[in-house]
Amino acid sequence: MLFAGIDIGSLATKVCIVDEEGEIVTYLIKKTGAKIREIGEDAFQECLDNAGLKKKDVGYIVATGYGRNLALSGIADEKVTEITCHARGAKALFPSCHTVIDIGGQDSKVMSLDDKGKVIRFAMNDKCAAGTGRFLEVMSSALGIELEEMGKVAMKSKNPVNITSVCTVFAESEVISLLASGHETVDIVAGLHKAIARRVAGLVRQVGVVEEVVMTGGVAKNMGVVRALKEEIGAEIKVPDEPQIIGAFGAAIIAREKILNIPEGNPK
Amino acid sequence: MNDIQASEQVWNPLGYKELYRDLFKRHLTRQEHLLSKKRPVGWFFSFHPSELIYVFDVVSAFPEQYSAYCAARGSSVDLIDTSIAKGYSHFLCDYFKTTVGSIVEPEKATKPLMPKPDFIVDSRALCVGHHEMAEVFAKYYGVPRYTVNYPYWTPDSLKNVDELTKEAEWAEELYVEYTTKRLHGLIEFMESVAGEMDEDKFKEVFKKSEKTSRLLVEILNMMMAKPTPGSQREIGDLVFIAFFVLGSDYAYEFCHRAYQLIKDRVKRGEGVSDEKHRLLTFGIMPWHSLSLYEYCEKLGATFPVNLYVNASVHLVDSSKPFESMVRRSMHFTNATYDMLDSVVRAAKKADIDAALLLENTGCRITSMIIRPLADTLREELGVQSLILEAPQCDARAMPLERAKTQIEAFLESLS
Amino acid sequence: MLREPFREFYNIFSRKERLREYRKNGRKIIGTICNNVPEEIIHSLGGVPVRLIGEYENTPLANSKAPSWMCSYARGVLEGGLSGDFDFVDGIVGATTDDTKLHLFSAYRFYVKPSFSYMVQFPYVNDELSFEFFTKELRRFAEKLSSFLSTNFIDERLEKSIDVYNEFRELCEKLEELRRDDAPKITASEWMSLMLASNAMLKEDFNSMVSARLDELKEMDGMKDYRLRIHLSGTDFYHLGLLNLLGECGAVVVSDDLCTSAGYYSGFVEGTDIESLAKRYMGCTACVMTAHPGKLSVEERLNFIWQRIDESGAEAIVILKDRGCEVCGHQCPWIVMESELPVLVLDLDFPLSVEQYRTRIEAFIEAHGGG
Repeated sequence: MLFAGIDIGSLATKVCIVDEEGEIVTYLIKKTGAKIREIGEDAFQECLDNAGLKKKDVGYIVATGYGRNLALSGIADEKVTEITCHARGAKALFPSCHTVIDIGGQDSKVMSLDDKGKVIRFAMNDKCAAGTGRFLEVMSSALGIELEEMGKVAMKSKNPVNITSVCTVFAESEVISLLASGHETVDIVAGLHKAIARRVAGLVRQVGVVEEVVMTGGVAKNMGVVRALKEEIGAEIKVPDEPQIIGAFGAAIIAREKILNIPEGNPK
Repeated sequence: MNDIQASEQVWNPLGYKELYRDLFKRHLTRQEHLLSKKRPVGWFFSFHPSELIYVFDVVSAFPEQYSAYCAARGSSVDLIDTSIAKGYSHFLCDYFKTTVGSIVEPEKATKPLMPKPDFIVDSRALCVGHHEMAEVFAKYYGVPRYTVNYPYWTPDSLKNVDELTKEAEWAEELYVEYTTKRLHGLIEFMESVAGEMDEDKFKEVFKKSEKTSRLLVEILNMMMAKPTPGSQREIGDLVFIAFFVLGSDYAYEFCHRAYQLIKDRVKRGEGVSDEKHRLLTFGIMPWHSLSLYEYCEKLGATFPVNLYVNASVHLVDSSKPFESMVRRSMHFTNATYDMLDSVVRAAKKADIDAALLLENTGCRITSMIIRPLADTLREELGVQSLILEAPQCDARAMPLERAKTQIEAFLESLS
Repeated sequence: MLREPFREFYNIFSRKERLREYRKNGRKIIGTICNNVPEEIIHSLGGVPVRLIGEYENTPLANSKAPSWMCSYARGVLEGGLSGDFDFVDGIVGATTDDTKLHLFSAYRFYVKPSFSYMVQFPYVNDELSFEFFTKELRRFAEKLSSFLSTNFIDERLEKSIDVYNEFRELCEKLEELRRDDAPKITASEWMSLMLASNAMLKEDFNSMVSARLDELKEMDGMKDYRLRIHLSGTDFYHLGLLNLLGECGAVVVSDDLCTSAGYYSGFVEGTDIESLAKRYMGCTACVMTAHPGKLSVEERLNFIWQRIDESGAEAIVILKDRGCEVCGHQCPWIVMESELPVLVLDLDFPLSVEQYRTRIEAFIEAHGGG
C-alpha cells in the first residue's frame, strides 16, 4: 500500500508518495495557479501518472498547506497543518532534528520539536513578505538576476551591504539607490540575503535553537540564505536534497503512521 | 541652486558640546567613585525626584538614558530585536525594548553597560510604561522596587499651570497629600537600602537644585528670543540634566556656563542660523538621528520651543521640597489635553510659524497627544504641523532621507 | 453560531436597545473604560454604568486621531465616540491603569466632549496609605458624579448596589461551572455574548434574565467531542469570530482572565460601605497594575491565572495578544516562561484575518490535543 501527502501552497503544490517503509516512491512540484479547488486533484493525478501508479494503489491521503481545507472536501482523507507536516518530514529524514526552519514563498515558520518529533513551540510570519521567498523574487527582478542564481552570486561577496528597510517594497527602492550609488551587485545581493536571514533569525530566537537544525521549503535551495542564516543563529543547518517537498513528505508519513498504526516519531 | 540649498551653510551652535562632555565625565567619575565604595545601585526613570540620588549618595543608572546612548552608538536595533524575540511586543517603548535586550544579550549592547541594580524606583509621573518596565526589570534582577504614583492631572484637580515652571494656581489637596506621603515613603525606602538620610544634606541638595532649575527655566525662556539663539541638537540634551542629575554640583555648573553663553548670544542678537521659520517641536528626540535638527536649522528652520525639553524642567522651591517633587508631574503630557492651553501660550510667546511633531512609535504618551496638539495649534493659532514617525531608538522606522524629504516639502509649503 | 438564548443576549449588546430605553426614561448612561472603575457608585447614584465597547472591523475615524497601532479596544471606543454611535453616552469614567486608557480618556474628552468625565486615580500599591487615599478618592468621585446626576450619595443606596453587583458575580460563578464541566455547556463565543450583554444593561436586569434561564442553560447539551481544554489569557478582548474559530478547531474555553470576562466579575465586595468597595477593587489581582508592597503585580496576576486553571482543568493556554496592548506586551513572556502548560500566543492585528489564525490554532491542537 502507498501513502500520499499533498501540500497546496499559495505558489506551489507538492505531492509526495511513500511506501510502507516510508521511502519516497515519487514526488511532484507544480505551480498552484488560480484554480485552488482543482489543483490538489490535478497534481496528485499527474504524480501518479508520471510514476505509472493508480489511485487505488494509494491507501490514505493527507492534505496540508494553505489549500488543505479545499482538498479535504475533495480528494484528501485528512488535513494536517503544514507546521506539523514539515516537522514530521524533517524528523523522518534527520532523526536528531530538533529545530525546523521553513521559508516558503509567502510565509516563514520555525518549529521546535521534542525527541519524538512532536512540535513543542512554533512561530510563524504570514503577515509580511520580508523574510520569505517573495522578498528574494522581488529583489532578483530589481537586480536582473535569475532567482536560481541569487544564492551563488551572494556567496561571491566579501563585503555585504547593510539593507536597513524592513519592508520588501522599500527594500527594493533601497536596492535601486545602492546600485545608483555604485555599490557592487554581489555585495547588494549578499546584503539582501543577510536581511532575509535576520528576519527569519528573529522568529528562530522566539522559538529557541536546539540542534540539529533543518531547513525546509523552497528557499532552502538558496545556499546564500542558508549560509547567512547559519551565521545569524550560530548553528549548523542541514538541508534535505529536495527541501521544497518536505511538507508533502511529512503529510505522507503521517498518512502511513495512521494506517499502519505506527506511534508518532518512530524513525523510518 | 535653489533657495533651500543656497542657505544650507550657516549653522552656529552655542557650544554646549564641550560643556556636556565635561558634565558626563564628572557624572561618570561620581559613579565610579561610588561603585568603588560599594554604594548601592538604583535604576531610576525620568520625572523621579533626582535630588534624592545626591542626598543618599547612591549610584544611579537610567535605562532611558542608556537606551538613548545605545541608539546614538548604533546597538539599539539589535537589542530591540532581542526583546521582540523574547516575546515582548513590538509596540512598546523603545527604551524598554533596548534595555531588555541589554539584559538578555549584554554582548550586543554598547559598553559600558549599566551597573546591575540593587533597587529600582519607578513613578507614574509621565507614563504607566515606567511602572510596567520597572516591574519587568525588577523581575529579571530579583530586586526590591518602590513606586510613586503621581496623579494624572485633570481640569478638576489642577488649574493654570505655567508650562515651564510648573507652578499652578491650584492643585487638589487630596492628590498632593497622597503623593507627598508616597514620597516620604520613598525616603524611608531609600534609607532602607542606602542608610539614614542626612537632613542637612537634603536641604543643601535642594538649594542646589533650586538654583539649577532657575537657570534651566531661563535658558528655555531665552531660546524663545528672535532669532532663536541655540540648536536643538544641544538643547535636547538638557533633559538629561532636568530628569536625571538635578541636584548635583556638575548640573549647576553646566547650567551656569550654558546660561552665560545663551545670554551673551541673545544680547548680541545672534541666531543659530539664518532664520526663516520658527518651529515648535515635540516628541522624544530620535537619538539615532540627531543630525536632523542640524539639517533643519541649516535650512533656516529653527526650534525656539521644544515641548519635550520644556516638560522635563520645573522650578524647584527649596523651602518646599516635597511640593516641588510633586510639581515635577504637572506637565502637559501628564494631564488631560486641557493643559494644551499652556502650550498655546508658549507657542504664542515664541511666535512660532509651524510645528514638527515626532510620533515615537511605541510611546503612547507622545503618540496620542500629537494629533490633538496639531489640531489645537491649527485651530488656535492657524499653525500647520508635520507629523513624522520617529521611534526614539529604532532607526529602521525613520529612514533619514525620507524624513528629510518630508521636512523639505513641509518647509516649501510654508515659504 | 450562537444558540438561543445567547443570540438574544448578544443582540441586547449590539443593538443597545436597553440603554436607549433607560435613557428615554430619564436615566443617564455613564460609560466606563476600565474594570477598575467601581460601577457600584455609579449605580447607587442612579446612573447606568456601561463598559464602553466598540465593535468595529475597521476604525478609520479613530485612526485619524490616534496611532493605528493602539490597542483595538481603545480604537473601538474612540471610533464609537467619533462616529456618533455612542451618542447615548452621557459621561465617561476612566482609571489610571494603563497609558492607553489614560490617553483614550483624554482623547475622548478632547474630541467627543461628553457632558461628564472623571478619571479615578488608582493606586499601584495595595497598602494602608493607598487604601485610605483610594477611599477618599472614591468619595470624591461620588461627589462629582452626584452633582452631575443631581442626586445625593446615600450609604443605603450603595449597599443595595453592592448587593446587586455581588449577585451578578455569584451568577457568573454559577455559570462558570457549566463552562468547566467535563462536557462544557457553553461555547467560548456564547460565554462572551453573555459577558457583553452584562455590560449593556443594568445589572439587576441582567441578573433577572440569567436567573430565569439558568435551569434551561443547565439542561443544554454539553460538548463532548472537543480535543483541548483551554484557558484564554488577555485583556479587553471580545471578538466572537476568533472565539468561534477556537471551537471549530476543536478547543473549548473553560476559563479565562480577560478584562471583559473573569477579570471583570472576579472578587466579591465583602461589606456594604465605600471602604469595602475600595478594598475589593484594590485587591483585584486579575488586574495588572496594583500589587501588595514587596510584590510584583505580574506575579499576582500569574497566581490568579494558575488558580483559575486549577479550578477549570485547562490543559493549555492561549494568549490573545493584541499588538497594541501594553499589558500583554510586557507580561506575555512571563506567562509563557512560567507556565507548566503549553502556551500558544496569538498576535492579534485588527481587522482580524481569521484564516491566518486557523493554521496556528490547528497546529497547536494537533501538537497538544487529544483525539
